Amino acid sequence: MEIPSSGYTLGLVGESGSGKTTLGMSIMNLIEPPGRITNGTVEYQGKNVLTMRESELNSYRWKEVSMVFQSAMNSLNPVKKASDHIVEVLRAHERIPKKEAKERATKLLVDVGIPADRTEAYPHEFSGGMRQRVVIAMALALSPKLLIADEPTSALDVVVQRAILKLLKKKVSGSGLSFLFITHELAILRGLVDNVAVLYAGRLVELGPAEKVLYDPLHPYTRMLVSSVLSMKSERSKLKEKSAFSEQRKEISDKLRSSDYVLKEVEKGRWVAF
Amino acid sequence: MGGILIQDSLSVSSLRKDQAVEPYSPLLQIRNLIVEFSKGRGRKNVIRALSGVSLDLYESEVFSVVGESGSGKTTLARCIARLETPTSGQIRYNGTDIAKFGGKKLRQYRKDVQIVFQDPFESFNPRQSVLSSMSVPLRFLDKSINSGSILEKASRLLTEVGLDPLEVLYKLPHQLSGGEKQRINIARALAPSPKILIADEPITMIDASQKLEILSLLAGLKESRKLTILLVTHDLAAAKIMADRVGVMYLGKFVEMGPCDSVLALPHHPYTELILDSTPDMLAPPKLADSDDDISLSHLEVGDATTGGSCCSFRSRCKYATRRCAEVEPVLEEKTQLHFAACHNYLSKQYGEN
Repeated sequence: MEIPSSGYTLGLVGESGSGKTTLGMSIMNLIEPPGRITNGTVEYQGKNVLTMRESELNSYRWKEVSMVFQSAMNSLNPVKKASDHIVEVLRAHERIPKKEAKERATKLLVDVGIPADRTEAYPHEFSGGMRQRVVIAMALALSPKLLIADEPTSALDVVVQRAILKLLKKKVSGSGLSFLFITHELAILRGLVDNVAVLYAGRLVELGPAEKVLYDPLHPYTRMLVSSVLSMKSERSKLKEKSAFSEQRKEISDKLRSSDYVLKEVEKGRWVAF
Repeated sequence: MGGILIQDSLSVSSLRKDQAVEPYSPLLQIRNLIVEFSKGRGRKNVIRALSGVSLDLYESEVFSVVGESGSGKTTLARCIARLETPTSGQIRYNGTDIAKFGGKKLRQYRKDVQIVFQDPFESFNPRQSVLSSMSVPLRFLDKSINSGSILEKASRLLTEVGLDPLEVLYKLPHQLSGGEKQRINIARALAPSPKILIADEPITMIDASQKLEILSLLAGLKESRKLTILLVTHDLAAAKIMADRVGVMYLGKFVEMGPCDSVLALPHHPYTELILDSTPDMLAPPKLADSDDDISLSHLEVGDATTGGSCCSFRSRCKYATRRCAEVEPVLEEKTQLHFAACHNYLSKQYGEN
């Protein structure tokens, strides 16, 4: 899989256990024992991330590629003010005086929609959506070239979710930032990313432009995933479709688990596993 | 204070017109339920999780409670299951106050009302096989049951929820998927043949491809067992395909309640409109691209549960708010047939703004 350098946005979907987060973690070279990357490479601008030295990794992580982890909003330091989280990031990577760092931190926080008078608040004084904004500001602090967001909205209410997605969309579009959005919810990808990759049992089964993958899926697994999405337009009769559904799923999973298959480019930019 | 006016029409059966309508009393009547949690000393340090909730549940209907986190959905579910004692208010089951139940009657009530919790991953003992976790309720129900009948009953329940007993009975929880665990949770809840099944966010933690299957299992059980289901969810699409009626909660109150088709198609409360607009929908036109979206941050942040008094709690987030909203608290009123909403100003889009 390749993520071109500028302004490429990719949504990565799959069920829990399909390897979405593992892929994100691999890009950051954050796989911890007992996990191990046994094969393959992650290259960033021609350099293999997996063989980087610790010092190289330090300047690669956050500065080049940054990640908003799943439930990161709960990992803010409770005794640190919002702005101090950002100051810490800035000062860890750049030699700048505290005062300047503070000013930049405040600006970054205001940028993600935190009122100017709240930047000195502690994490517990923020709602979930606000904390998520702080985490996004942290991830954007060093103007990375690639932002990975791992289920950034799965713990949020729909109204707040929409606000966070809008914020991400605003940050990504027009900034030249590339964006990898990991989620299990197909419905939120629409309008957010240009491309969608579908992961199943640790393998890519389909990759292509979002509109095509979501509305004209080619792989049977993607097709099943798409047809199982509930919409406000769904009718009650949808509840009756399921019996055919379970069989279909069994068939697909047997097939996918047993056989070896390869991704083939069926049309330009569109890959499907056969 | 904070009471909700329930008009007589609500206690009329809410069955659809094409079904035989005969006036019959609700299975569960909830009146003016208030639940307060203290977060410290003093009278001010009180959070009202529920502030005056009234609701009638009828036999074999699916009622869906929707709302954001902190709106009181789960507290309501826990009160009904008698896992929480309300500060004031009443829940009547078949006409009797459940707070007065004790001994034998309480045991019967606990059999009649079963609850399925949100997180299937944390509701199993990791060292117990499916068979032994199924045997707990069965043994509790019949102290003299022998292992042969446990096996038989457990198998029957598992089959009923769409699992193959031979395949799962001897598995441990970590060998099961989220969907399978949730099915077993439902099977356990069915053991005492309940009348009311409370499903608290049953599909939130489950993969998309299995959500629909869990929902259709519940819909099937409603038919085959004549179950009354209280479906607590924040997924409006799930409520839409499952529920007969839906109630929208905001800061401990129902702000809108009525037939599912009517509430979700033509909401009468601005909060319902807001959550409907925010729900990601693959079949609707994308909303993220909207540049003229006028929802400002204040509309998106949740209000404070501690503030009370005589005003509309949604006021600070509402774009239709007027002075009256700060002075008079709106009560649930019937806006269209059997469709209640608590708002002074808002009229559904159908009638045009104003």
